[in-house]
Amino acid sequence: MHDIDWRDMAVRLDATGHAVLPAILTPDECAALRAMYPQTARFRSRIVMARHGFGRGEYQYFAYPLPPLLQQLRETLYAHLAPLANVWSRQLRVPVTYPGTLQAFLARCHAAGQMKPTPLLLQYGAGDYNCLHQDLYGAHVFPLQVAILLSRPGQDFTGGEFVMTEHGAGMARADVVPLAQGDAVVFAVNQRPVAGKRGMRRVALRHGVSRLASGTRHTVGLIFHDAA
Amino acid sequence: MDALTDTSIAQLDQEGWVVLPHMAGCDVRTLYACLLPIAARWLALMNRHIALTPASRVVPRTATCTRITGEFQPLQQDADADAFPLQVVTLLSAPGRDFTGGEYVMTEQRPRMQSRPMVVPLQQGDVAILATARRPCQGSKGMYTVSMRHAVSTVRSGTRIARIVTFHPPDGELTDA
Repeated sequence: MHDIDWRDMAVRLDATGHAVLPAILTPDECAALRAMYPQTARFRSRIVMARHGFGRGEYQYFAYPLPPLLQQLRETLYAHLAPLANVWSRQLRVPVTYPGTLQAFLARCHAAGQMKPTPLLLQYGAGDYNCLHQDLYGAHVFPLQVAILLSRPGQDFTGGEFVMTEHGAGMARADVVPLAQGDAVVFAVNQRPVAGKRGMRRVALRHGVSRLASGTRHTVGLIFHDAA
Repeated sequence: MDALTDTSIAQLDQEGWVVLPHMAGCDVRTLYACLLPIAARWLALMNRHIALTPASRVVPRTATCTRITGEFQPLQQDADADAFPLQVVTLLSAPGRDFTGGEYVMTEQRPRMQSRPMVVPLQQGDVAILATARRPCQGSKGMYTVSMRHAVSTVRSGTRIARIVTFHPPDGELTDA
């Protein structure tokens, strides 16, 4: 984590709505997180995507206390993302400021009844996919989130690309974010400011995963707001 | 055409696209003749009654699309409901060598549901057959129509060259049955 160029990350996030942090986890750490999937006591709920029309595949929300590695990542990433979240708030004229620590932000979520932890572990098999969506769980939203790929593309799975779409005034685009094992992608949850001809305008973002052609793909999702 | 096997057609029916490896040199009119029965079946399933132009009279329009570092193709649907329901994209450059990024992305919009993202895995010389705009989809309660959009993600480095072929009736000829 100490090797990360946080300034460069903020510049790329501001320009494109996403930024990759290479090799934020070691292969051993990825394996340890993957191995948690069958340990049901670590989780508060399991979602089978096909039952809700979300796609195909499944995920589980961690229960508190989070695994120490994820707790530490969530706190560190939050602290480095909060300044950019505040810039975006001002640019979008949203009357919300984000405190400097995750603990203070979560206290705000919890006071509003958003008490349930949102970090999750996702598992995709051959043929699985995730429709384009936004991870919103109540009125309190931290505008950036993180996904970390725990499997090796080309070896553990094929297909299963991380796709983001962005819809703005009269224009939509789609991007594929290339990830290697242990890479994190930081991305906008639901909207971000983009400089237009007459000041800042807002664009809406969604993310999803294309169908896996083969293998198994695990990811960890770190969302900073808790759920109602 | 040998490349359009039952497996390819099943993939096209399920996903709205199929990749035919190493087919860049194939004759476009021959390919069109292979696509005609699929197009006719799709249109019937979508309850659209459009006379399809026979292979001998069809006008293929070819566009070569070059994108350099930083460029992308917006997510769009550039054909109306009466267009031929399939189009052909050939990737002329080599991903990883001539360019990085520049993936071919499609989204599938379904009634009252979230859209599904798709990445068409093209290598140099591959031909992709793609749903132009709308296609029939088998649901648990019968057939329904989904709407397809096309995009090319940002080319992160190099130059990506692709050839797109769309099929049209001869000038001035109406498509209505």
